[in-house]
Amino acid sequence: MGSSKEELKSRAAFGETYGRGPSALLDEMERRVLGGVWGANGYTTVAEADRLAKELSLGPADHLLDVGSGRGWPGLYLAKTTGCRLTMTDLPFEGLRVALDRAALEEIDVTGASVASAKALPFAARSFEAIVHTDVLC
Amino acid sequence: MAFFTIVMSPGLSKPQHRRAALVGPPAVASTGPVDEQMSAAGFDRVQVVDVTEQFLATARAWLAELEDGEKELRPMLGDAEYAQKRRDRKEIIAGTEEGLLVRLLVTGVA
Repeated sequence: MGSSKEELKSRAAFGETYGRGPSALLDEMERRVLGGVWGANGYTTVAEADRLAKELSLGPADHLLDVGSGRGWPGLYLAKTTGCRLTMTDLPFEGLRVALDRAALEEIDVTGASVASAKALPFAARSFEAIVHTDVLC
Repeated sequence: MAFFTIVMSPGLSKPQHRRAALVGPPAVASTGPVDEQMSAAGFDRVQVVDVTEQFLATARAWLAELEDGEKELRPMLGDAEYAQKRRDRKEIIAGTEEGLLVRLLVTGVA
């Protein structure tokens, strides 16, 4: 399936943002607003990510799919705090690269990362015990 | 499955619908109540919780950070991007305060 015009626009915009190097100022802003530093600029706070984990009863036996993971928020955080395995998808490659680098650095169990549209995910049915997304499909 | 989503409030007039589409996130104009969409997609035990108040607090906090950090952020992002980000944050806050947008926590079991 080809990407829609909206997806191409979104990929370009987020790709540019995710491709920027780290910034102490942006990190500090994110910490104050969301409660953590995961390269996020959306509306899901750490407390809300914890709520997702609770709703899904996430644990080490689970394989989690994070759709529209950006630079790894909240998937990496959930994998780190619950011990679940993680697969991430998003349109811009740049964000996934940042997320994979962080996963390697912090030894977070990432099973895979895929550049893919949420409209056409490249996974078989029942590949995951849990799925999250945060303000992606809205 | 569990997710947060920003959607249009139910029962909007046509002008309100147009404005909600304008100030909301790109795909905010998706059709139909989210619980019905989830059920149609095969999810059971669908639950929807309104988390709009928390969302408004977070959006306002982002806007305050953006405005407080303008001196450093403008050179980093460029004038056009800084202005766009500020406009986007202000519009989504205004749209939510006007009752056009709500943010929901949705859960369901497949």
